Amino acid sequence: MLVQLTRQSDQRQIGKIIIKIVIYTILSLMAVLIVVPFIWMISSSLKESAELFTYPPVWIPKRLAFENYVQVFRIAPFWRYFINSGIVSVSVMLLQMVTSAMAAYAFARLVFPFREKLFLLYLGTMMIPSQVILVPAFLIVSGLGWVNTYQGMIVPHAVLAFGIFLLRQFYMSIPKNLDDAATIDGCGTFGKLFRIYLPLAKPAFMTLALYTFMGEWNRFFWPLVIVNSQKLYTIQIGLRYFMSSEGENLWNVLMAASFVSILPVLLFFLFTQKFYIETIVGTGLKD
Amino acid sequence: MISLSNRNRQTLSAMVLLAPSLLIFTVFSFGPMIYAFFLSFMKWDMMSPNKSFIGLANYQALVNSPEFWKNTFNTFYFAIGTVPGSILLGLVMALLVNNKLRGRVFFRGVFFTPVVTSTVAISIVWMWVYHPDFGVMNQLLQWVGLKPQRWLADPVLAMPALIIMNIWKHAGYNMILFLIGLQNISPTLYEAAKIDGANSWRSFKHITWPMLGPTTFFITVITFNNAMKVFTQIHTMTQGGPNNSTSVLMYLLYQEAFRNFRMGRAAAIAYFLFCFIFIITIVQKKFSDRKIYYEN
Repeated sequence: MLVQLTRQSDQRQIGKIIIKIVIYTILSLMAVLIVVPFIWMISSSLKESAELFTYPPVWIPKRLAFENYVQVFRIAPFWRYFINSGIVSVSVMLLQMVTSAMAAYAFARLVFPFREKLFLLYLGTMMIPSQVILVPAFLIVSGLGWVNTYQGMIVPHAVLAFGIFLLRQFYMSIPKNLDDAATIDGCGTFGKLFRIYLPLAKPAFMTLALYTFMGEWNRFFWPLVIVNSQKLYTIQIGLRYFMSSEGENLWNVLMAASFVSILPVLLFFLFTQKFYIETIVGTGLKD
Repeated sequence: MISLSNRNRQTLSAMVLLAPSLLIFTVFSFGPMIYAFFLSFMKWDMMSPNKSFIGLANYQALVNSPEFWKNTFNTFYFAIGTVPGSILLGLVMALLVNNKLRGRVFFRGVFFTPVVTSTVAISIVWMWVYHPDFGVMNQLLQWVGLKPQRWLADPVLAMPALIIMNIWKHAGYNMILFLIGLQNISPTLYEAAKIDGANSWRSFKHITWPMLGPTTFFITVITFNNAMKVFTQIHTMTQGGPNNSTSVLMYLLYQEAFRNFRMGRAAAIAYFLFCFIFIITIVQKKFSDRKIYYEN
Protein backbone atom coordinates (compact mmCIF):
# COMPACT_ATOMS: atom_id res chain seq x y z
CA MET A 1 0.00 0.00 0.00
CA LEU A 2 2.90 2.31 0.77
CA VAL A 3 4.20 1.76 -2.75
CA GLN A 4 0.87 2.78 -4.23
CA LEU A 5 0.73 5.98 -2.18
CA THR A 6 4.21 6.95 -3.30
CA ARG A 7 3.26 6.52 -6.96
CA GLN A 8 0.31 8.85 -6.49
CA SER A 9 2.38 11.66 -5.02
CA ASP A 10 5.02 11.16 -7.72
CA GLN A 11 2.36 11.57 -10.34
CA ARG A 12 1.20 14.77 -8.74
CA GLN A 13 4.77 16.09 -8.70
CA ILE A 14 5.26 15.30 -12.37
CA GLY A 15 1.89 16.83 -13.13
CA LYS A 16 2.91 20.04 -11.42
CA ILE A 17 6.17 20.22 -13.32
CA ILE A 18 4.43 19.65 -16.63
CA ILE A 19 1.97 22.42 -15.90
CA LYS A 20 4.84 24.73 -15.03
CA ILE A 21 6.59 23.96 -18.30
CA VAL A 22 3.40 24.54 -20.26
CA ILE A 23 2.80 27.87 -18.57
CA TYR A 24 6.36 29.05 -19.14
CA THR A 25 6.18 28.03 -22.78
CA ILE A 26 2.97 29.91 -23.40
CA LEU A 27 4.25 32.92 -21.48
CA SER A 28 7.43 32.99 -23.52
CA LEU A 29 5.57 32.66 -26.80
CA MET A 30 3.26 35.49 -25.86
CA ALA A 31 6.15 37.61 -24.71
CA VAL A 32 7.84 37.08 -28.05
CA LEU A 33 4.69 38.06 -29.92
CA ILE A 34 4.35 41.22 -27.88
CA VAL A 35 7.99 42.13 -28.30
CA VAL A 36 8.31 41.39 -32.04
CA PRO A 37 7.30 44.88 -33.21
CA PHE A 38 9.92 46.39 -30.91
CA ILE A 39 12.60 44.05 -32.17
CA TRP A 40 11.54 44.82 -35.73
CA MET A 41 11.88 48.51 -34.93
CA ILE A 42 15.36 48.21 -33.45
CA SER A 43 16.58 45.82 -36.10
CA SER A 44 15.37 48.08 -38.92
CA SER A 45 16.82 51.13 -37.25
CA LEU A 46 20.28 49.64 -37.59
CA LYS A 47 20.06 48.63 -41.22
CA GLU A 48 21.55 50.36 -44.21
CA SER A 49 18.93 51.58 -46.64
CA ALA A 50 19.55 48.86 -49.19
CA GLU A 51 18.99 46.17 -46.58
CA LEU A 52 15.55 47.54 -45.79
CA PHE A 53 14.13 46.70 -49.17
CA THR A 54 14.90 43.02 -49.34
CA TYR A 55 12.52 40.14 -49.28
CA PRO A 56 12.38 38.02 -47.19
CA PRO A 57 13.18 40.62 -44.54
CA VAL A 58 16.52 40.45 -42.79
CA TRP A 59 16.45 40.40 -39.01
CA ILE A 60 20.09 40.86 -38.15
CA PRO A 61 21.72 43.62 -40.19
CA LYS A 62 25.07 42.81 -41.78
CA ARG A 63 26.52 45.94 -40.28
CA LEU A 64 25.10 47.97 -37.43
CA ALA A 65 24.32 51.30 -39.03
CA PHE A 66 24.48 53.55 -35.99
CA GLU A 67 24.73 56.56 -38.28
CA ASN A 68 20.96 56.33 -38.72
CA TYR A 69 20.62 57.65 -35.22
CA VAL A 70 22.88 60.57 -36.04
CA GLN A 71 20.77 61.21 -39.13
CA VAL A 72 17.67 61.54 -36.95
CA PHE A 73 19.12 64.58 -35.26
CA ARG A 74 20.50 66.00 -38.49
CA ILE A 75 17.38 65.87 -40.61
CA ALA A 76 15.07 67.34 -38.01
CA PRO A 77 15.70 69.27 -34.79
CA PHE A 78 14.91 66.34 -32.53
CA TRP A 79 17.03 67.78 -29.74
CA ARG A 80 14.62 70.72 -29.83
CA TYR A 81 11.61 68.42 -29.74
CA PHE A 82 13.09 66.63 -26.74
CA ILE A 83 13.56 69.87 -24.90
CA ASN A 84 10.02 70.96 -25.64
CA SER A 85 8.57 67.66 -24.49
CA GLY A 86 10.72 67.93 -21.40
CA ILE A 87 9.58 71.44 -20.59
CA VAL A 88 5.92 70.64 -21.08
CA SER A 89 5.95 67.28 -19.31
CA VAL A 90 7.92 68.48 -16.29
CA SER A 91 5.82 71.64 -15.96
CA VAL A 92 2.56 69.74 -16.13
CA MET A 93 3.90 67.21 -13.67
CA LEU A 94 4.90 69.89 -11.16
CA LEU A 95 1.67 71.83 -11.53
CA GLN A 96 -0.43 68.73 -11.12
CA MET A 97 1.51 67.75 -8.04
CA VAL A 98 1.15 71.19 -6.46
CA THR A 99 -2.55 71.59 -7.18
CA SER A 100 -3.26 68.02 -6.10
CA ALA A 101 -1.32 68.40 -2.85
CA MET A 102 -3.22 71.56 -2.00
CA ALA A 103 -6.73 70.54 -2.98
CA ALA A 104 -6.41 67.04 -1.52
CA TYR A 105 -5.39 68.49 1.84
CA ALA A 106 -8.43 70.74 1.92
CA PHE A 107 -10.74 67.84 1.14
CA ALA A 108 -9.04 65.45 3.53
CA ARG A 109 -8.47 67.51 6.64
CA LEU A 110 -10.40 70.78 6.53
CA VAL A 111 -14.03 71.37 7.34
CA PHE A 112 -15.87 73.90 5.25
CA PRO A 113 -19.30 74.35 3.69
CA PHE A 114 -20.14 72.35 0.54
CA ARG A 115 -17.04 70.24 0.99
CA GLU A 116 -18.63 66.97 -0.12
CA LYS A 117 -20.49 68.52 -3.04
CA LEU A 118 -17.37 70.25 -4.24
CA PHE A 119 -15.40 67.02 -4.07
CA LEU A 120 -18.07 65.31 -6.15
CA LEU A 121 -17.79 68.12 -8.64
CA TYR A 122 -14.04 67.57 -8.87
CA LEU A 123 -14.58 63.87 -9.40
CA GLY A 124 -17.15 64.78 -12.01
CA THR A 125 -14.44 66.27 -14.19
CA MET A 126 -13.18 62.74 -14.71
CA MET A 127 -16.55 61.93 -16.26
CA ILE A 128 -16.49 64.75 -18.76
CA PRO A 129 -16.00 63.26 -22.22
CA SER A 130 -12.67 64.49 -23.48
CA GLN A 131 -13.71 64.92 -27.09
CA VAL A 132 -16.52 67.29 -26.15
CA ILE A 133 -14.24 69.83 -24.49
CA LEU A 134 -11.40 69.66 -27.01
CA VAL A 135 -12.67 72.19 -29.53
CA PRO A 136 -14.09 74.72 -27.04
CA ALA A 137 -10.98 74.45 -24.90
CA PHE A 138 -8.97 75.24 -28.00
CA LEU A 139 -11.16 78.27 -28.67
CA ILE A 140 -10.71 79.48 -25.10
CA VAL A 141 -6.95 79.02 -25.26
CA SER A 142 -6.96 80.82 -28.56
CA GLY A 143 -8.94 83.67 -27.06
CA LEU A 144 -6.32 83.97 -24.35
CA GLY A 145 -3.69 84.34 -27.05
CA TRP A 146 -2.03 81.15 -25.97
CA VAL A 147 -2.00 79.33 -29.30
CA ASN A 148 1.50 78.24 -30.22
CA THR A 149 2.88 78.88 -26.72
CA TYR A 150 4.20 76.72 -23.92
CA GLN A 151 1.51 77.91 -21.53
CA GLY A 152 -1.13 76.87 -24.06
CA MET A 153 0.20 73.34 -23.86
CA ILE A 154 0.75 73.33 -20.11
CA VAL A 155 -1.93 75.26 -18.27
CA PRO A 156 -5.06 73.44 -19.48
CA HIS A 157 -3.59 70.28 -18.02
CA ALA A 158 -2.39 71.81 -14.77
CA VAL A 159 -4.93 69.95 -12.65
CA LEU A 160 -5.64 66.24 -12.52
CA ALA A 161 -8.75 65.14 -10.62
CA PHE A 162 -7.29 61.66 -10.33
CA GLY A 163 -4.26 63.13 -8.56
CA ILE A 164 -6.45 64.94 -6.08
CA PHE A 165 -8.37 61.76 -5.45
CA LEU A 166 -5.19 59.76 -4.96
CA LEU A 167 -3.59 62.19 -2.55
CA ARG A 168 -6.78 62.64 -0.58
CA GLN A 169 -6.89 58.88 0.00
CA PHE A 170 -3.30 59.00 1.13
CA TYR A 171 -3.76 61.97 3.46
CA MET A 172 -6.81 60.39 5.06
CA SER A 173 -4.73 57.37 5.96
CA ILE A 174 -2.34 59.47 8.06
CA PRO A 175 -3.30 59.10 11.73
CA LYS A 176 -5.09 62.05 13.25
CA ASN A 177 -2.95 61.84 16.38
CA LEU A 178 -0.22 63.59 14.45
CA ASP A 179 -2.62 66.42 13.71
CA ASP A 180 -3.61 66.75 17.34
CA ALA A 181 -0.02 66.63 18.54
CA ALA A 182 0.86 69.34 16.07
CA THR A 183 -2.05 71.50 17.17
CA ILE A 184 -0.93 71.23 20.75
CA ASP A 185 2.49 72.39 19.65
CA GLY A 186 0.84 75.45 18.13
CA CYS A 187 1.00 74.37 14.50
CA GLY A 188 -1.52 75.93 12.13
CA THR A 189 -3.22 74.50 9.06
CA PHE A 190 -0.50 75.35 6.61
CA GLY A 191 2.20 74.42 9.07
CA LYS A 192 0.74 70.93 9.27
CA LEU A 193 0.56 70.72 5.51
CA PHE A 194 4.18 71.58 5.01
CA ARG A 195 5.66 69.79 8.01
CA ILE A 196 3.57 66.65 8.26
CA TYR A 197 1.47 65.82 5.25
CA LEU A 198 3.77 66.74 2.40
CA PRO A 199 6.85 64.94 3.74
CA LEU A 200 4.82 61.84 4.55
CA ALA A 201 3.21 61.77 1.12
CA LYS A 202 6.44 61.27 -0.79
CA PRO A 203 5.57 57.78 -2.12
CA ALA A 204 2.23 59.02 -3.41
CA PHE A 205 3.95 61.97 -5.01
CA MET A 206 6.44 59.73 -6.74
CA THR A 207 3.78 57.53 -8.26
CA LEU A 208 1.73 60.55 -9.30
CA ALA A 209 4.79 62.19 -10.83
CA LEU A 210 5.53 59.15 -12.99
CA TYR A 211 1.95 58.80 -14.11
CA THR A 212 1.57 62.43 -15.13
CA PHE A 213 4.99 62.70 -16.73
CA MET A 214 4.41 59.71 -18.95
CA GLY A 215 0.87 60.76 -19.81
CA GLU A 216 2.03 64.20 -20.84
CA TRP A 217 5.06 62.93 -22.79
CA ASN A 218 2.82 60.72 -24.92
CA ARG A 219 0.08 63.27 -25.48
CA PHE A 220 -0.76 63.91 -29.13
CA PHE A 221 -4.06 65.58 -30.03
CA TRP A 222 -3.68 68.66 -27.86
CA PRO A 223 -0.16 69.70 -28.90
CA LEU A 224 -1.14 68.90 -32.49
CA VAL A 225 -3.82 71.57 -32.56
CA ILE A 226 -2.17 74.11 -30.27
CA VAL A 227 1.23 74.30 -31.90
CA ASN A 228 1.95 75.19 -35.49
CA SER A 229 5.58 76.25 -35.54
CA GLN A 230 8.36 73.71 -35.65
CA LYS A 231 10.36 75.23 -32.84
CA LEU A 232 7.61 74.33 -30.37
CA TYR A 233 6.89 70.79 -31.52
CA THR A 234 6.89 68.18 -28.80
CA ILE A 235 8.55 64.93 -29.64
CA GLN A 236 5.31 63.21 -30.64
CA ILE A 237 4.35 66.00 -33.03
CA GLY A 238 7.88 66.24 -34.36
CA LEU A 239 7.97 62.51 -34.96
CA ARG A 240 4.65 62.61 -36.76
CA TYR A 241 5.69 65.41 -39.11
CA PHE A 242 9.10 63.83 -39.55
CA MET A 243 7.36 60.77 -40.90
CA SER A 244 5.25 62.63 -43.42
CA SER A 245 8.09 64.80 -44.64
CA GLU A 246 10.63 62.03 -45.03
CA GLY A 247 8.39 59.78 -47.05
CA GLU A 248 8.84 56.24 -48.08
CA ASN A 249 12.50 55.57 -48.21
CA LEU A 250 13.95 56.41 -44.87
CA TRP A 251 12.32 53.67 -42.82
CA ASN A 252 15.56 52.94 -41.01
CA VAL A 253 15.93 56.53 -39.87
CA LEU A 254 12.22 56.61 -39.01
CA MET A 255 12.60 53.53 -36.84
CA ALA A 256 15.59 55.13 -35.16
CA ALA A 257 13.55 58.27 -34.51
CA SER A 258 10.68 56.24 -33.09
CA PHE A 259 13.00 54.32 -30.79
CA VAL A 260 14.64 57.50 -29.60
CA SER A 261 11.27 59.04 -28.79
CA ILE A 262 10.04 56.12 -26.72
CA LEU A 263 13.34 55.52 -24.96
CA PRO A 264 12.94 57.98 -22.03
CA VAL A 265 9.52 56.65 -21.10
CA LEU A 266 10.60 53.07 -21.63
CA LEU A 267 13.59 53.47 -19.31
CA PHE A 268 11.48 55.29 -16.74
CA PHE A 269 8.97 52.49 -16.86
CA LEU A 270 11.46 49.65 -16.66
CA PHE A 271 13.07 51.10 -13.56
CA THR A 272 9.85 51.91 -11.75
CA GLN A 273 7.56 49.21 -13.06
CA LYS A 274 6.00 48.36 -9.76
CA PHE A 275 5.18 51.95 -8.83
CA TYR A 276 3.76 52.82 -12.20
CA ILE A 277 1.48 49.84 -12.64
CA GLU A 278 0.10 50.33 -9.16
CA THR A 279 -0.73 53.96 -9.81
CA ILE A 280 -2.36 53.56 -13.15
CA VAL A 281 -4.88 51.25 -11.62
CA GLY A 282 -5.08 53.17 -8.39
CA THR A 283 -4.99 50.19 -6.07
CA GLY A 284 -2.35 47.87 -4.73
CA LEU A 285 -1.25 44.80 -6.63
CA LYS A 286 0.14 41.98 -4.57
CA ASP A 287 3.36 40.65 -5.94
CA MET B 1 -5.05 90.95 13.58
CA ILE B 2 -8.60 89.93 12.85
CA SER B 3 -9.58 87.05 15.03
CA LEU B 4 -11.55 84.45 13.15
CA SER B 5 -13.36 81.50 14.54
CA ASN B 6 -11.77 78.14 13.86
CA ARG B 7 -14.49 77.33 11.34
CA ASN B 8 -13.94 80.50 9.39
CA ARG B 9 -10.21 80.02 9.42
CA GLN B 10 -10.58 76.56 7.97
CA THR B 11 -12.94 77.83 5.30
CA LEU B 12 -10.51 80.57 4.36
CA SER B 13 -7.62 78.11 4.20
CA ALA B 14 -9.73 75.79 2.09
CA MET B 15 -10.52 78.61 -0.30
CA VAL B 16 -6.85 79.36 -0.71
CA LEU B 17 -5.97 75.71 -1.24
CA LEU B 18 -8.75 75.08 -3.71
CA ALA B 19 -8.57 78.29 -5.70
CA PRO B 20 -5.98 77.25 -8.30
CA SER B 21 -7.58 73.91 -9.17
CA LEU B 22 -11.08 75.35 -9.14
CA LEU B 23 -10.01 78.12 -11.49
CA ILE B 24 -8.37 75.74 -13.93
CA PHE B 25 -11.31 73.36 -13.87
CA THR B 26 -13.77 76.17 -14.47
CA VAL B 27 -11.85 77.63 -17.39
CA PHE B 28 -10.70 74.42 -19.03
CA SER B 29 -13.23 71.75 -18.05
CA PHE B 30 -16.64 73.04 -17.00
CA GLY B 31 -16.51 76.12 -19.19
CA PRO B 32 -15.73 74.22 -22.37
CA MET B 33 -18.38 71.62 -21.56
CA ILE B 34 -21.07 74.29 -21.49
CA TYR B 35 -19.50 76.23 -24.35
CA ALA B 36 -19.54 73.09 -26.50
CA PHE B 37 -23.25 72.71 -25.95
CA PHE B 38 -24.04 76.19 -27.20
CA LEU B 39 -21.43 76.00 -29.92
CA SER B 40 -23.15 73.01 -31.46
CA PHE B 41 -26.14 75.22 -32.22
CA MET B 42 -24.05 77.85 -33.94
CA LYS B 43 -22.19 78.42 -37.11
CA TRP B 44 -18.73 79.87 -36.63
CA ASP B 45 -15.48 79.67 -38.52
CA MET B 46 -13.27 81.13 -35.82
CA MET B 47 -12.07 84.02 -37.98
CA SER B 48 -15.11 86.23 -38.41
CA PRO B 49 -16.56 87.88 -35.31
CA ASN B 50 -20.04 86.70 -36.27
CA LYS B 51 -21.36 83.62 -34.67
CA SER B 52 -24.79 82.89 -35.99
CA PHE B 53 -27.31 80.84 -34.17
CA ILE B 54 -28.60 78.16 -36.48
CA GLY B 55 -30.52 75.90 -34.17
CA LEU B 56 -30.38 72.23 -34.95
CA ALA B 57 -28.90 72.75 -38.42
CA ASN B 58 -25.54 71.21 -37.50
CA TYR B 59 -27.16 68.11 -36.11
CA GLN B 60 -29.48 67.88 -39.09
CA ALA B 61 -26.65 68.24 -41.56
CA LEU B 62 -24.79 65.41 -39.86
CA VAL B 63 -27.79 63.11 -39.74
CA ASN B 64 -28.31 63.71 -43.45
CA SER B 65 -24.67 63.19 -44.34
CA PRO B 66 -23.62 59.71 -45.53
CA GLU B 67 -20.07 60.61 -44.61
CA PHE B 68 -21.10 61.05 -40.98
CA TRP B 69 -22.76 57.66 -40.89
CA LYS B 70 -19.78 56.01 -42.57
CA ASN B 71 -17.57 57.48 -39.87
CA THR B 72 -20.00 56.29 -37.21
CA PHE B 73 -19.95 52.80 -38.65
CA ASN B 74 -16.15 52.78 -38.79
CA THR B 75 -15.92 53.96 -35.20
CA PHE B 76 -18.22 51.20 -33.96
CA TYR B 77 -16.42 48.69 -36.16
CA PHE B 78 -13.12 49.63 -34.56
CA ALA B 79 -14.49 49.61 -31.02
CA ILE B 80 -16.45 46.39 -31.31
CA GLY B 81 -13.54 44.75 -33.07
CA THR B 82 -11.11 45.72 -30.33
CA VAL B 83 -13.11 44.63 -27.32
CA PRO B 84 -13.24 40.81 -27.53
CA GLY B 85 -9.64 40.38 -28.63
CA SER B 86 -8.05 42.67 -26.07
CA ILE B 87 -10.20 41.28 -23.26
CA LEU B 88 -9.42 37.68 -24.16
CA LEU B 89 -5.72 38.37 -24.52
CA GLY B 90 -5.67 40.37 -21.29
CA LEU B 91 -7.43 37.57 -19.45
CA VAL B 92 -5.05 34.91 -20.73
CA MET B 93 -2.09 37.08 -19.77
CA ALA B 94 -3.52 37.64 -16.30
CA LEU B 95 -4.26 33.96 -15.73
CA LEU B 96 -0.74 33.03 -16.76
CA VAL B 97 1.00 35.75 -14.77
CA ASN B 98 -1.11 35.13 -11.68
CA ASN B 99 0.74 31.93 -10.84
CA LYS B 100 3.54 31.92 -8.30
CA LEU B 101 6.30 31.65 -10.84
CA ARG B 102 9.72 33.14 -10.98
CA GLY B 103 9.85 35.92 -13.53
CA ARG B 104 6.18 36.82 -13.28
CA VAL B 105 7.11 40.45 -12.70
CA PHE B 106 9.29 40.32 -15.80
CA PHE B 107 6.50 38.93 -17.98
CA ARG B 108 4.01 41.35 -16.48
CA GLY B 109 6.34 44.19 -17.44
CA VAL B 110 6.82 42.91 -20.97
CA PHE B 111 3.09 42.61 -21.52
CA PHE B 112 2.53 46.11 -20.22
CA THR B 113 5.22 47.76 -22.34
CA PRO B 114 3.02 48.50 -25.38
CA VAL B 115 0.71 50.45 -23.07
CA VAL B 116 3.35 52.95 -21.99
CA THR B 117 4.91 53.59 -25.38
CA SER B 118 3.55 56.53 -27.30
CA THR B 119 0.84 55.86 -29.85
CA VAL B 120 2.64 57.89 -32.51
CA ALA B 121 5.82 55.84 -32.27
CA ILE B 122 3.83 52.60 -32.19
CA SER B 123 1.83 53.70 -35.21
CA ILE B 124 4.94 54.40 -37.25
CA VAL B 125 6.52 51.09 -36.28
CA TRP B 126 3.37 49.21 -37.23
CA MET B 127 3.19 51.02 -40.56
CA TRP B 128 6.52 49.42 -41.25
CA VAL B 129 5.27 46.08 -39.85
CA TYR B 130 2.36 46.24 -42.26
CA HIS B 131 4.46 47.30 -45.25
CA PRO B 132 3.06 45.31 -48.20
CA ASP B 133 6.44 44.45 -49.68
CA PHE B 134 9.01 44.45 -46.89
CA GLY B 135 7.09 44.20 -43.64
CA VAL B 136 7.11 41.53 -40.94
CA MET B 137 3.39 40.84 -41.06
CA ASN B 138 3.53 39.51 -44.57
CA GLN B 139 6.59 37.46 -43.67
CA LEU B 140 4.53 35.92 -40.88
CA LEU B 141 1.66 35.19 -43.24
CA GLN B 142 3.93 33.47 -45.70
CA TRP B 143 5.37 31.30 -42.94
CA VAL B 144 1.91 29.88 -42.31
CA GLY B 145 1.22 29.54 -45.98
CA LEU B 146 -1.02 32.54 -46.61
CA LYS B 147 -0.68 35.16 -49.32
CA PRO B 148 0.87 38.54 -48.52
CA GLN B 149 -1.64 41.38 -48.21
CA ARG B 150 -1.62 45.10 -48.80
CA TRP B 151 -2.92 45.82 -45.29
CA LEU B 152 -3.17 49.56 -44.80
CA ALA B 153 -3.55 50.12 -48.52
CA ASP B 154 -6.44 47.68 -48.78
CA PRO B 155 -9.88 49.19 -48.06
CA VAL B 156 -11.11 45.91 -46.63
CA LEU B 157 -8.10 45.02 -44.51
CA ALA B 158 -7.08 48.45 -43.28
CA MET B 159 -9.49 48.52 -40.36
CA PRO B 160 -8.77 44.95 -39.21
CA ALA B 161 -5.09 45.83 -39.38
CA LEU B 162 -5.68 48.78 -37.06
CA ILE B 163 -7.77 46.61 -34.77
CA ILE B 164 -5.02 44.03 -34.45
CA MET B 165 -2.54 46.73 -33.52
CA ASN B 166 -4.95 48.16 -30.97
CA ILE B 167 -5.48 44.77 -29.35
CA TRP B 168 -1.71 44.38 -29.11
CA LYS B 169 -1.40 47.78 -27.52
CA HIS B 170 -4.10 47.46 -24.86
CA ALA B 171 -4.08 43.83 -23.81
CA GLY B 172 -1.49 44.59 -21.13
CA TYR B 173 -3.70 47.21 -19.52
CA ASN B 174 -6.60 44.79 -19.35
CA MET B 175 -4.24 42.21 -17.93
CA ILE B 176 -3.56 44.46 -14.94
CA LEU B 177 -7.25 45.03 -14.33
CA PHE B 178 -7.91 41.29 -14.53
CA LEU B 179 -5.04 40.62 -12.12
CA ILE B 180 -6.70 42.81 -9.54
CA GLY B 181 -10.00 41.08 -10.13
CA LEU B 182 -8.38 37.67 -9.78
CA GLN B 183 -6.66 38.60 -6.56
CA ASN B 184 -9.95 39.70 -5.06
CA ILE B 185 -11.44 36.25 -5.43
CA SER B 186 -11.37 34.60 -2.04
CA PRO B 187 -9.11 31.51 -2.00
CA THR B 188 -11.57 29.62 0.20
CA LEU B 189 -13.81 29.24 -2.83
CA TYR B 190 -11.08 27.37 -4.66
CA GLU B 191 -10.28 25.26 -1.62
CA ALA B 192 -13.89 24.22 -1.29
CA ALA B 193 -13.99 23.30 -4.95
CA LYS B 194 -10.86 21.21 -4.65
CA ILE B 195 -12.37 19.29 -1.76
CA ASP B 196 -15.35 18.57 -3.94
CA GLY B 197 -12.97 17.23 -6.57
CA ALA B 198 -13.08 20.00 -9.18
CA ASN B 199 -10.27 20.21 -11.74
CA SER B 200 -8.77 23.41 -13.15
CA TRP B 201 -11.20 23.90 -16.00
CA ARG B 202 -14.26 23.41 -13.80
CA SER B 203 -13.03 25.75 -11.12
CA PHE B 204 -12.37 28.32 -13.81
CA LYS B 205 -15.80 27.92 -15.33
CA HIS B 206 -17.72 27.89 -12.06
CA ILE B 207 -15.65 30.12 -9.81
CA THR B 208 -13.15 32.31 -11.65
CA TRP B 209 -15.25 33.39 -14.58
CA PRO B 210 -18.41 34.24 -12.63
CA MET B 211 -16.44 36.02 -9.90
CA LEU B 212 -14.69 38.06 -12.57
CA GLY B 213 -18.05 39.33 -13.77
CA PRO B 214 -17.84 42.88 -12.40
CA THR B 215 -14.21 43.19 -13.48
CA THR B 216 -15.00 41.97 -16.97
CA PHE B 217 -17.85 44.41 -17.22
CA PHE B 218 -15.65 47.28 -16.11
CA ILE B 219 -12.91 46.34 -18.58
CA THR B 220 -15.42 46.00 -21.42
CA VAL B 221 -16.79 49.47 -20.76
CA ILE B 222 -13.36 51.07 -20.50
CA THR B 223 -11.98 49.34 -23.58
CA PHE B 224 -15.03 50.17 -25.65
CA ASN B 225 -15.16 53.80 -24.58
CA ASN B 226 -11.49 54.40 -25.26
CA ALA B 227 -11.67 52.68 -28.63
CA MET B 228 -14.60 54.87 -29.68
CA LYS B 229 -12.36 57.90 -29.22
CA VAL B 230 -9.48 56.65 -31.34
CA PHE B 231 -7.61 59.36 -33.22
CA THR B 232 -3.82 59.24 -33.19
CA GLN B 233 -3.45 56.00 -35.12
CA ILE B 234 -5.84 57.16 -37.82
CA HIS B 235 -4.11 60.51 -38.17
CA THR B 236 -0.68 58.90 -38.36
CA MET B 237 -1.26 55.69 -40.29
CA THR B 238 -4.11 56.10 -42.73
CA GLN B 239 -5.56 59.63 -42.55
CA GLY B 240 -8.97 58.05 -42.83
CA GLY B 241 -8.25 56.11 -45.99
CA PRO B 242 -8.17 54.14 -48.14
CA ASN B 243 -11.57 55.25 -49.43
CA ASN B 244 -12.68 56.51 -46.01
CA SER B 245 -12.60 52.95 -44.71
CA THR B 246 -10.76 54.01 -41.58
CA SER B 247 -12.18 57.47 -41.00
CA VAL B 248 -13.61 57.69 -37.49
CA LEU B 249 -15.65 60.28 -35.62
CA MET B 250 -12.71 61.89 -33.79
CA TYR B 251 -10.90 62.24 -37.08
CA LEU B 252 -13.99 63.77 -38.66
CA LEU B 253 -14.22 66.15 -35.72
CA TYR B 254 -10.59 67.14 -36.20
CA GLN B 255 -11.14 67.81 -39.88
CA GLU B 256 -14.31 69.82 -39.34
CA ALA B 257 -12.70 71.99 -36.66
CA PHE B 258 -9.18 72.45 -37.96
CA ARG B 259 -9.43 72.00 -41.71
CA ASN B 260 -12.91 73.19 -42.53
CA PHE B 261 -13.17 75.61 -39.61
CA ARG B 262 -16.72 74.61 -38.85
CA MET B 263 -16.63 74.85 -35.09
CA GLY B 264 -20.32 74.32 -34.54
CA ARG B 265 -20.31 71.22 -36.70
CA ALA B 266 -17.37 69.80 -34.78
CA ALA B 267 -19.12 70.41 -31.45
CA ALA B 268 -22.18 68.58 -32.74
CA ILE B 269 -20.04 65.61 -33.78
CA ALA B 270 -18.54 65.55 -30.30
CA TYR B 271 -21.96 65.41 -28.69
CA PHE B 272 -23.09 62.67 -31.06
CA LEU B 273 -20.04 60.63 -30.09
CA PHE B 274 -20.80 61.24 -26.45
CA CYS B 275 -24.38 60.02 -26.96
CA PHE B 276 -23.27 56.88 -28.75
CA ILE B 277 -20.84 56.01 -25.97
CA PHE B 278 -23.41 56.81 -23.31
CA ILE B 279 -26.13 54.68 -24.89
CA ILE B 280 -23.86 51.68 -25.37
CA THR B 281 -22.65 51.97 -21.78
CA ILE B 282 -26.24 51.89 -20.53
CA VAL B 283 -26.98 48.90 -22.75
CA GLN B 284 -23.91 47.10 -21.42
CA LYS B 285 -24.95 47.81 -17.87
CA LYS B 286 -28.47 46.45 -18.43
CA PHE B 287 -27.02 43.37 -20.08
CA SER B 288 -24.54 42.66 -17.35
CA ASP B 289 -26.89 43.36 -14.43
CA ARG B 290 -28.67 40.24 -15.40
CA LYS B 291 -25.51 38.17 -15.41
CA ILE B 292 -23.22 39.35 -12.65
CA TYR B 293 -22.64 37.27 -9.59
CA TYR B 294 -21.47 38.92 -6.43
CA GLU B 295 -19.90 37.08 -3.51
CA ASN B 296 -22.51 36.83 -0.70
